[in-house]
Amino acid sequence: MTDIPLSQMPSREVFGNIAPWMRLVFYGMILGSLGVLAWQVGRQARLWWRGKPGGFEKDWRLWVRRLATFALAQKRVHRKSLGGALHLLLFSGFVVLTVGTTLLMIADQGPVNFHRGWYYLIYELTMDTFGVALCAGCLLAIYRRLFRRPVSLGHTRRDWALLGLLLALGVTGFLLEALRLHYTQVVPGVARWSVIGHVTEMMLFRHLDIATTRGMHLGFWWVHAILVAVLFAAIPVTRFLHVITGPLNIALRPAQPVGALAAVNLGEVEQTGLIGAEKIEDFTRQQLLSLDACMECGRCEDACPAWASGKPLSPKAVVVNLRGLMSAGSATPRALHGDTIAAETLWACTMCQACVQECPVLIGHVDLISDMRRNRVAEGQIAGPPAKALNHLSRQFNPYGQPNLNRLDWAAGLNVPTVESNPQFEVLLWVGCAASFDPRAQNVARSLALLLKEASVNFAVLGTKERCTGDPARRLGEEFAFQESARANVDRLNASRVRRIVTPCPHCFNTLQNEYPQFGGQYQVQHHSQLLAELLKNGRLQRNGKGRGTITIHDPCYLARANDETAAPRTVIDSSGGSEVREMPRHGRKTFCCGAGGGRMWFEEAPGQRVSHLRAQEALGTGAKTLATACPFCLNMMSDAMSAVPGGEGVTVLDIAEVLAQHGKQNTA
Amino acid sequence: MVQSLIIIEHNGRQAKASSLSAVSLAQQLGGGYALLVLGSGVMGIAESLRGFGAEAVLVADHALLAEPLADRYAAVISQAARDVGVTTVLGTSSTFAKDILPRVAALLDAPMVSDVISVSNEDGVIGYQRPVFAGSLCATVTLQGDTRVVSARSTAFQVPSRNGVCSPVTAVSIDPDSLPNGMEFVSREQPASGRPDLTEARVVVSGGRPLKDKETFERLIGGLADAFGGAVGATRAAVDAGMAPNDCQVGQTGKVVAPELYIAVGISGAIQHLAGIKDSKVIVAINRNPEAPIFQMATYGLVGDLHEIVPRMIEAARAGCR
Repeated sequence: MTDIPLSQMPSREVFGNIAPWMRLVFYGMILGSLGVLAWQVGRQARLWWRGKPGGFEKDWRLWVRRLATFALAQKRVHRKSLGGALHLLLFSGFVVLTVGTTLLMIADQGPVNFHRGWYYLIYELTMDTFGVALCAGCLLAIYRRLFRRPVSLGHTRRDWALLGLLLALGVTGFLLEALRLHYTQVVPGVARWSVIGHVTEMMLFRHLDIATTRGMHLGFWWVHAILVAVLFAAIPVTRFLHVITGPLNIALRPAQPVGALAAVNLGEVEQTGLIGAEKIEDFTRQQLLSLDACMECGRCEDACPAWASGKPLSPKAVVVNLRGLMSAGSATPRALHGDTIAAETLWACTMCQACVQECPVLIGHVDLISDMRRNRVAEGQIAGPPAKALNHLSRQFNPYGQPNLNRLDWAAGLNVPTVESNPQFEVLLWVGCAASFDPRAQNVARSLALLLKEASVNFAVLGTKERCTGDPARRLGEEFAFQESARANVDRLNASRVRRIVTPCPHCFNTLQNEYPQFGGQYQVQHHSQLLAELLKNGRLQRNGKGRGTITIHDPCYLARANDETAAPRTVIDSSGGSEVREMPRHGRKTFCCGAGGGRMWFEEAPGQRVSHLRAQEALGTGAKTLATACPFCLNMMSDAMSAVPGGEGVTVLDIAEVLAQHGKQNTA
Repeated sequence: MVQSLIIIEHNGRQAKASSLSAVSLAQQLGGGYALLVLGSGVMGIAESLRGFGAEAVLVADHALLAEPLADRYAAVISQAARDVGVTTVLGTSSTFAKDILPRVAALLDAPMVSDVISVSNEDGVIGYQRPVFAGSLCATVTLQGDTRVVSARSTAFQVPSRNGVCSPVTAVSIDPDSLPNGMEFVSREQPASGRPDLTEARVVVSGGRPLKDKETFERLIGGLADAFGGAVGATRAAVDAGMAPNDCQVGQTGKVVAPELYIAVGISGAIQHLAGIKDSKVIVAINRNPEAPIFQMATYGLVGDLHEIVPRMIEAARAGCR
């Protein structure tokens, strides 16, 4: 094609049909609507800026990585089949058409018009393809909102306006293309590259004369141009705002491990007399921005165990209601607590992180709830069993209120070494309160100790010097009690020169690994599933022969979701030999909470509202005769639930360590 | 010389046996003691208390005292303590006493020790023993000052027997205008059952899910409780299943009990339930599963079918009573 003179190379006119004054009006209009957009976003940003300073991620490399993963590749959007597919169509269509149109403007206004030759042909084909994607996305979205109507999907009349606007832009774009192809008399060989425009021209315009199509083109051009201007100006007042706020929040959300809650600076609290969020301005600026990033897709609500069990908590509603309060400005008489977020809502959260894991724009629902809980607890707005548990945690160093001197009762007769009797230990066995005091979970500690002995692991326990990690206090919002526990434990661990820790409790595991570094405690922490899997792999534990038959695995949230460990429990079960694992529909990182997290262990739940019963029914659906878990709280909740749901009596609930230890017994017997 | 003033709780018809255990404490402390009954139309109750060896049975009988409102009761009690000139105001560790006695202590500007399980006397200094750290330790507390307020754990002291001495009944004068008026009685809710209150009973019999239905629960658990003159408790599971009313629930989210004898029937022993019974003196567990965690906590364990064991226990207990 290089032989063809420049004037004859395939290309297109840009403003050929548009008089210069019209172009001026057009550019003015677009600039004006971008101005409106900027002004409105600025107005929102002023709302965000009422929040506490800071809270933004500063590492730009992380911004880039996150934007690539979550904004460009939309890692979390795909997870809904229809919603994900249509979003991909809309997103790719919108992005490619916007970039393409901008390139056209640059080619037209810039010093070199590169818009010709092969570039032009491929450009036309690409633009047509993604134009189709945009229109298809709109149609699917309209279908979904008309007929499927997912309950968790936010919907207002403005959504029809927005979808109509996008569809009209796509359709007028194709009409303009067809009309331009006609009145510029493009040869078919070239026109064919503009597939849709070409077909449309053949079907609708081929018999019209050039003057008529020129006139029509001008008319549609103005319609198209005005729609573009309206779209830009409408972004901030529709769900479309997320095209700006979504990527902003994705980039700027502070980096922290999923399972960790932000530390509170107690010195600051002493000065300000304020802890947590009492008013909307007590959230950080990033948290307020995140409220505007929500486009109410409902993924969080679909994943929420509190919502599924009929409690008055929807993570989406929390975000939407907080956003409503933020937008109402400082003049509103509405309070954050009570008027906007009910106490029952706040306390219903199990902090299982399912909503956080699902959110495509990385909103931190659990952090929002944690900040509000912290304030409520500081204001004395917590009573009953959870308050008693906190009291016990501070006084008896365990939430059960058992004498801490009995912490080694589980080890009676096992001759378990302590850090005093075995100061040369390699691994510290952090037993945790549940396995120390809950008679059912004590058997997990015993099984684990026996397995460690069998594998000749050089271990020791802190014994009566161990105290609660403070996890329940931190999830319930009692930051003072948590930090007291954390500091005391870090002191003890450091004094005992602990480097490696193994624990059978995912909550201890999470707190030791992800939250103790906030207090100078740096250890190599393993969940018992990880150490057991390691011992099985390197042959220090050996199992073969018959297993337990059918078995299903309930992944603890703070192991699978918060700490991304799903393989180790399965390795342990698989190595037990001969067991047939039947997975529940929600397993691995997609696991469903047992209902005990976030301090819910110490709340009374109405019989119809127990998360554990939903999970027990899901487990029964697999037909497995054993339910294996890897958390003493899951063990407690699931045992209880299994004896309560019809058909559950036939299912044995065990910890993976018990499965492995019993298997050993079977072999030797 | 009257040294102690004992506050007697009642249910409007008769004095609660548990509150009489404070009399045993007063006897151990030495010196004379007076009983004080507050209420409206409680002369009959006061008469019934004349046989417990008190120097006097004081009655504060007034319409304004019909309900145990802490501010009024505390005012009357502290005034009576001053009038009689006692050194010790005594009560038992009940909800009633927890509400009222600290106020009495404040009004008298006296130190208070609660939950006393025994007393000692060393060189004339009285030491009060009370459990601390969830019962793992026992602290001995001494008090300074001329007057003190003490609450006794009722299960730690015997209910005294009548000794035949006829105490005089004396009315305490009430000045209605001087009584505080900061609290208002709204309503009282109480179960219809004639059994003793769960938190105060010396014997508690509790049942779990294996009782299956309301009728079996009442027949076996209610029957065994009645045979011992005890109260009925239940696990959350039994309450959920509709076998027992909500206010019977014992455990983390129900009531905390500390009877002399706790009989757990068909209860596996989830930590949530154990949280409510750990201060019981003797725990007897009946369960079919020998691995049930409750056996680790129980003083005596019976492995077997509760439908066989409990009827025999009821029979034996009844026979024992006869």
